[in-house]
Amino acid sequence: MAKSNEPIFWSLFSAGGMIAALVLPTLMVITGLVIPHGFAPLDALSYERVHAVVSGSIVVKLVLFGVIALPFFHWAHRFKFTLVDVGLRKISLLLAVLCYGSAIAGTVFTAVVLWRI
Amino acid sequence: MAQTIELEIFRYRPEQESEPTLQSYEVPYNEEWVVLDAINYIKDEIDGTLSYRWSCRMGVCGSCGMMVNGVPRLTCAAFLKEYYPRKILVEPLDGFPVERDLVTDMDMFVAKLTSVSPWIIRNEGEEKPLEEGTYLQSPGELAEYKHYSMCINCMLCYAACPVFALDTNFLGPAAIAIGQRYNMDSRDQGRDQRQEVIASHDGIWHCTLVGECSTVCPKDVDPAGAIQRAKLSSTTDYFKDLLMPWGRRT
Amino acid sequence: MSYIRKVPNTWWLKRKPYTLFIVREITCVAVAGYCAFLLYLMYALRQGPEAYAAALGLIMSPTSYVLHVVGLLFVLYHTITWFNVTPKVFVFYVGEERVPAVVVAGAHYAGWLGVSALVAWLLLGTGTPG
Ligand code: SF4
Ligand code: FES
Repeated sequence: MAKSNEPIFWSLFSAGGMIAALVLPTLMVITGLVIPHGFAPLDALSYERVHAVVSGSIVVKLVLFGVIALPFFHWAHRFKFTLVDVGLRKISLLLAVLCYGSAIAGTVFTAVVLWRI
Repeated sequence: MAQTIELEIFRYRPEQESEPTLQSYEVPYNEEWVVLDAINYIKDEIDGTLSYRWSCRMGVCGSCGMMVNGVPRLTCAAFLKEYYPRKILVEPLDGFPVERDLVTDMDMFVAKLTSVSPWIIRNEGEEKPLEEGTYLQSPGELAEYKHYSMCINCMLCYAACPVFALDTNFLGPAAIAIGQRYNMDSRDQGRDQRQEVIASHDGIWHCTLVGECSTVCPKDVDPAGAIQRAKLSSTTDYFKDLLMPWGRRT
Repeated sequence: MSYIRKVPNTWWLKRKPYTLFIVREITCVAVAGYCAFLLYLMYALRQGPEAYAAALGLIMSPTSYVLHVVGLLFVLYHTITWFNVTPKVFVFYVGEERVPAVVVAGAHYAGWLGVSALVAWLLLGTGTPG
């Protein structure tokens, strides 16, 4: 039987899911609640501060890259399977191309943007 | 005054109808009865034409699985009092073709089960001769696979699995759990052979971890867990192969 | 001849566990949406101070507030369901005893707490800007 390449997608899906579960809630609380409600100043994320931290360190860039790009693959995997499950099985190959393709595009774009900061 | 309960039963008699119908029966309500008792009552007292499978009446043979109000249950373990006074809808297990009434065609399941070679496999020439006695196993080694070995092939997990219902190519919960049952057995050497099936596209990879297979399993086999562990170990294999192609025999 | 029952595309509305399953899967949209926003922020950061200030300023808008709250609910649902299934994937033995599921999931929750504190401290707690 043909060897499946699913392990690639499944591991990216899992890594992205784990990162999303660990870091996204706090980030969202900060940008969605803490700052808008005034518990912390908008300046906490000011250009000077963020730019200095991001541009100064390859490690920070790598972390950001992981936090932004891996969840794209998490999305691609789940979204594709969900659409297939609710009735789009006939076009599952097309969905796979679109979903994983978007994730790859997002990843490349993330890498380029972060690289140039 | 005798209390009664209504059972609505899925009927399909291919020689007289091309579409299934529902038929209602009023049976005496008895606190101690399970759904299977009520169905047996119908068969014996009301309508002898009703077809269904059962045998042990004690949750070990695995043949009396049906959809009870939309949930896969062993009908010999589903008490009327869980539903009374509501009526009970009984249908054949979801996902499988219906042969007649509550009887499903389980060939598909048997084929899947067979495909994972559910027996202990030893390498060529490494079979222990009879006179050397049994293979010894520690309690820890037994614990690795014991809960998988409790499977009674009732197929409730398949009936609970939307992924299987939507695409019957999927190897499905019990077959994978049973494959893992042998893979995890310290006496077994057949994992590579089973991986050909389990790690293939139609093996574990259709699974999206709905998790209902483990919820409905009457024997706590946890097929969903078996599948996730198989995904993890197959993924590890895959990357090992990629990084060190010389490392594994095949 | 055997009768094959068709599965309607609305199968997931028939029972609560299936509906919750689809909700869990759909949380991925919130996950990707928020990461797209982060990416947009980084893009603006690269454009320069004005672009970045404009992008960051979005978080003060009512639209952003609603999106954040709804998205956060979905992402939290993702986090909880994700950690709750970790014991199905990771199985450990200490000696001959299997590490109980609550411990495996609990370790993930503890890790979550730690990471959250770290993220909050890095973003908000390190004193003066720059
Ligand atoms: S795994 Fe459980 S539900 Fe599935 S066939 Fe075996 S005993 Fe039945
Ligand atoms: S009749 Fe044997 S399991 Fe129910």
